[in-house]
Parts: sequence; C-alpha cells; structure tokens
Amino acid sequence: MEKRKVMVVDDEPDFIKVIKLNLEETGNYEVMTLSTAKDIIPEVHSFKPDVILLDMLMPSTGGLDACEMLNNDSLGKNIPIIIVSALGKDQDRYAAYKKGIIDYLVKPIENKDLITAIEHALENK
Amino acid sequence: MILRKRTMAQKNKTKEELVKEIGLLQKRIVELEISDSARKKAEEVLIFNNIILRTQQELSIDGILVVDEKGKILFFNQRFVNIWGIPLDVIELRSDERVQQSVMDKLASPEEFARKVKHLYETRDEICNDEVVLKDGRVFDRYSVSMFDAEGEYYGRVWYFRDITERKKAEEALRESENRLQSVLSTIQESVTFSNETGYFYVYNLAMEKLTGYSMKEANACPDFISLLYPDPKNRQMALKGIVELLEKRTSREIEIIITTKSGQFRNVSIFSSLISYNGRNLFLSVYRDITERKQAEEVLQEACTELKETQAQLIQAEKMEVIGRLASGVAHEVKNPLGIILQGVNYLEGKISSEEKDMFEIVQMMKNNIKRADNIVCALLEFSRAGELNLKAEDINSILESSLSLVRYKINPPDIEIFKELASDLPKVSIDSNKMEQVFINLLLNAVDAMPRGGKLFMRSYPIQLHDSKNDLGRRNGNYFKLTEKAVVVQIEDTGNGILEENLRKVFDPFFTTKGPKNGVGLGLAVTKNIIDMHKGIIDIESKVGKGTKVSIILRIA
Ligand SMILES: Nc1ncnc2c1ncn2[C@@H]1O[C@H](COP(=O)(O)OP(=O)(O)O)[C@@H](O)[C@H]1O
Ligand SMILES: [Mg+2]
Repeated sequence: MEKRKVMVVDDEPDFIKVIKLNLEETGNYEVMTLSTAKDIIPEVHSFKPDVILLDMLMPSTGGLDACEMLNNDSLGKNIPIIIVSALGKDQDRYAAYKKGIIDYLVKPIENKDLITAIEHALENK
Repeated sequence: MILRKRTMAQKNKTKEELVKEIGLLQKRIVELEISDSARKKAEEVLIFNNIILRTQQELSIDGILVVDEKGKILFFNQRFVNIWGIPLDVIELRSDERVQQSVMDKLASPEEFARKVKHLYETRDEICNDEVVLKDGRVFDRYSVSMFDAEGEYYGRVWYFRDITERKKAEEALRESENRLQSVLSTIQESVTFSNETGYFYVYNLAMEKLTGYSMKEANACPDFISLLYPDPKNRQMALKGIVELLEKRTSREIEIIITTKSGQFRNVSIFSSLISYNGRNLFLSVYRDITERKQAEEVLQEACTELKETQAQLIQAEKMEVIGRLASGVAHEVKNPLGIILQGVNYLEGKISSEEKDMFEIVQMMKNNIKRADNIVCALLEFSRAGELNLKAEDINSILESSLSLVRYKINPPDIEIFKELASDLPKVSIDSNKMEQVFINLLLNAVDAMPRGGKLFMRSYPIQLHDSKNDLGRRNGNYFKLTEKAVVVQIEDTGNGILEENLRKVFDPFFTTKGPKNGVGLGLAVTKNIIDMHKGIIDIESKVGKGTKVSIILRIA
C-alpha cells in the first residue's frame, strides 16, 4: 500500500518532531513538517499532501489564515485539514469549521485518536 | 359632767352650729327664768359656754364680728381688729357703721363692699361666702350668716374674715406656672404625656393629639388606650414590656415602636419615658417623637447601600472573572501544548515497550493518566472562567433537567441507582443560560452518582415557591439576590449517598477541593456550579448528613 502524505504545521518544534516520529512509526505515512504557515502554498505544491494537520496559534500566519490561503489555492482547497490545537473554546472551533476544516482536535491528543482522525479525513477526502 | 361632755363636743362644731347653739341657749335662759334655781343653773351653763366660745373665737384664725339687728357690735375678736387694722377707739364705739366707715379706704372697691353689706343685712336668710379684695393686695375670705332662734326670730349677723392672701398668691402662682407649662407644651414639637399607672393622662399636649389623632378627652375616656395605640400584639407587648421595665428598673428609657393613629396609619415613634414618684404613686412622663420619616429615609438609604454593595460585588466578581478568564486561557494554551508533546512522546515510548516489561508499561500508563489529570484541571479552569459569559433566555427548567440527565445516564447503573423525578408540571419559566445550567445539573448528578457507589436513590425535584421572611431560610442565606415575597423556582438534586462531613461542608465550593483522590476528582465541579448560580443571581444550598445523603437546592428567579 502506498504511503499517505501528511503535512504537519506547528510552531512547536518538539511537537512536530514527535508527531512525525509517531506517524512514521506506523509505516503508513510519509510526514513533512513545517514550523510556520507562511510559505504553506509553495510547500503544498511541492509536497502534495493528502491531509494537513494545522495548529491554530502560530506567529505571523495563524491556522485560520492558513486555511484561508489554502481555500484560495486550486490544489490546497481539495486537501482535508485537521486542526490540532491547544485552543478548545467553542468559538475557536466554530471559526475553524467555517473555514471548511474536516476535524478539530485539542491537545493533548493520544496518537491513536490522531490516527483515527487522519484515517477518517482520508476516507472522506 | 353632762355639761363638760357637751362642751367637749362643741369643739368640733361648725360656726353655723355654734351660732345656732348660742341662740338656743339664750332662749333657754328665758324659759328657765321661771324658777330661780333653775335660772342660776342656766346662767352657769351660759357663762361656761361663753368662756369656751370666747376662747375658741380668740384662737380662731378668722376675724369674727357679731352684730345685732340694730347694728350694735355684740362681739369681735382680736384677730378681727388686727386684720382690718381698726383703731381701738373706733371698735370701742361698738358701732358696726363706724367700723364699716373706718375700713372703707382700705378696700379695693368700697362701694361694692358697702352695697353687699347693706344687702346682706336686709336679706336675712342669705348666707354669704365670697372674697374681699383690699387696696394693699390682701384678699379676705368673707363668710356671713344670720342668727335666728328656734322660733326663727332674727338676732343679727355673724361675720368671719380670713386673710387668704398667701393661699391666693400660691394658687395664682400655680395657675400661672400651669398656664406657662400648657403654653410650652402646646407649642413644642414633641408629643408629651404625663399619666398615672391606670393610664389617666394629666398632660396630653397638642402635638400628641396631632400625632395620634386622639384628643386628650378620647384618650382618657378609653379604658384601654394602649390597645388603641398598639392594635398589633407585637407592638403592644413591646409597649407593655417597656412600662414594666420602667417600673422595675426605675430608670428612664427610650423605645422605638410603631403606633397606629386614629385614622389607621402607622407611625414610627421613639418614646422616651421616665418614672416620677409622687406621693407614693408612680407617674409616667413620656415624650414621643415621630421618626417615621427618619425611618423611611434610613430604609431607603439601607436599600441603596445594599444595592450599591451588590453592584460592587458583581463588578468585582465580573472583573475577577475576566482576569481569571484571560489568565486561564493563557495558561491553558501554555500548558496544553507541552502536554500535547509529552503525550505524543509517551505514545511513542508506549509503542517501543514489549508486553513483558510490566513496570515500564505501568509507568507509561501512569504518565498518560497524569497527563489526562493535568489536562482535566486546565479544562475545568477554562470552564470555570467562562461562566462569566451568560446567554440568558426564559427556559423550562424541567426540560433542562431531563436533557442533563440523559447526558449522564450512561454513568448511572439503573438497577443500583433508582431515579425519582418529582417535577412540577406548570412551572413558570426561569431566566437562565441553558448550557451553563445543564453543566450545573450534570455536575450535581455526577456528584450524586459518585456518592452512591453501592447504589441508592436519586431524586430530581422542581417546584415553585414564594419567598417568605421566616419560613424559607434558603431565601435568607443569600438575601441580597432575592427580594422577599419574590416568586422563584426551586430545583433539588438529592441522593442517599455517603454524605459530606460537617467540616467539609464549608469547603465543597472551594476550587480544587475534592475528597475523591487525584484520579477521580478535580474539585472544580461545585466551584463552577456555584459560580454559574451566582452569575444567575440564584441561590445554592447544600444540606448533608454523613451516611444519610445529600440534598442540593437551587433557587432561580422566574423570567
Ligand atoms: N452529592 C454529594 N455527596 C457527597 N459528597 C459530595 C456530593 N457532592 C459533592 N460532594 C463533596 O464535595 C467535593 C467537591 O465536589 P466537586 O466540586 O464536584 O468536585 P469533585 O466532584 O471533582 O470532587 C467532592 O469531592 C465531595 O467530597
Ligand atoms: Mg464533581
């Protein structure tokens, strides 16, 4: 089975490192990490991810801005986005859902729950 | 012997009686003239009587003058001469006319005096008792009566004069001071009464009449004026207690009380009373002050003050919540991120451990549990801080109770825990944030379930109440939020679980207070609940008995 491509965007270097390890550990995913969403469009065009895990609160370009950028991109708009954030308020959730995300997970999250969400997103792509 | 007895008795006789007696005795002399020995005896009697009479007359404080029908002075005493100041040569003439002439220039109204004397001599059966005023200011009491014998024959007149100047002056002074007192009493603002123990008023001034609406006459005519003034038994008791205390302790006291006026109005009065002993009798001097306006002003002030405090408390609370809210979401973000990393790290290690390495496996589980615990605390803190934002709507409390129950139903093991719903059917709607209230009920239901690990009964109740002052002590505990007699709705969650220790009852609302251990409890459930109820300006109350169960009552205002 071909590996699915997962892009992880988060300003926490430790977080993207451990997520990458855990996802790759399964042998099912090829993971690319970005510590900023600033250049997300060119990166998406070069990596062509099947799913994007996106943080909400990041310096300069936040999660919602990134969604906006992806929605305005011919390639980006078809890629399912899962928000993985420390923010858990309803209003954050609603704001993100309005941008067309497929799921919203609040940190801390168990790896198995993350994988379930990724699989679900891929199925509904 | 017989004579002696008679004369002794004469001592107590009145002037009239004595005069009459003289007449009788004289007549008797004529009768006795028949026999010489008898006459002698009669003379003796007469002499003796005259001596007695004379002594009495000389000792009398009255000036006495006896005039016969021809105007001849039959008798006078020294006092008569003295008070009138009649010269010896004049009185020696034994002429009433001359005596009259000699006093004319001493009289304040001589013509009137002369007229009266003339009139009295002409009108024999007239008894005179009046006052004669002298130029020098003295006043004489005048008493005059004619002398008749048993057959009714006229013998002349007796005059008594008594100097009553001092008495007059005293009377005048008394009357004057009384008038002055009356005029003072009638002009002062304070209501003043002076009464005896039977409630008879000697003084009852104009202000008192105005205050009570009852006149002094009405007050004195009423056999139970106290009941009239204090128809309410509570006030009456207070008034009577005041009187009894006054009599016992005998020190002046002031009471504040409500009187009912004649027109049925209530007035707040302060009564200052003191006890005055007079001739061994207790008299009450009371000063009433109408403090109704002051009381009303005080009440208004009190209300304003309470309102201010309430607003202040709410402001402080709101500000606190805002700070906590900002702090909490900042902390949450900062804590959740590292927790996310740790959890992922632990997940990574988890995958590397073989099932043989039991300790390693256990430690990893322990780490995961504690990450969850920290996360729970952060979430609860966020929840706690977010109670500040309310979205109030008129809601049916029963349906919120139902939906809350359905959300925790999975936790309730039906055969172990029996649920009793006692929900009033036509409850008024309450003004609440349904999401927040759902959270309250979930917290309470979960606590109840936690308290009954071996099963029990869970009651869910709702009913309307009217808050009365004494009947409902729930309404008092947090009186700020509810006006008495306001209508409200009560929700109760009661369990038959293990209950709360007395010493913990005060702490259960404290954030992070839990008796469930770190794995099962965070200790924010009731803190959040209390906060939400406070934001709704409701009341929450917990009653609990160890081993018996716990009852949580919530009072909510109707929409
Ligand atoms: N229905 C109840 N029966 C017995 N104890 C209770 C009940 N509700 C609350 N408590 C006590 O109050 C404490 C605080 O409750 P709460 O604030 O909800 O936190 P937690 O449930 O996380 O412990 C509980 O740990 C328990 O000791
Ligand atoms: Mg609880």
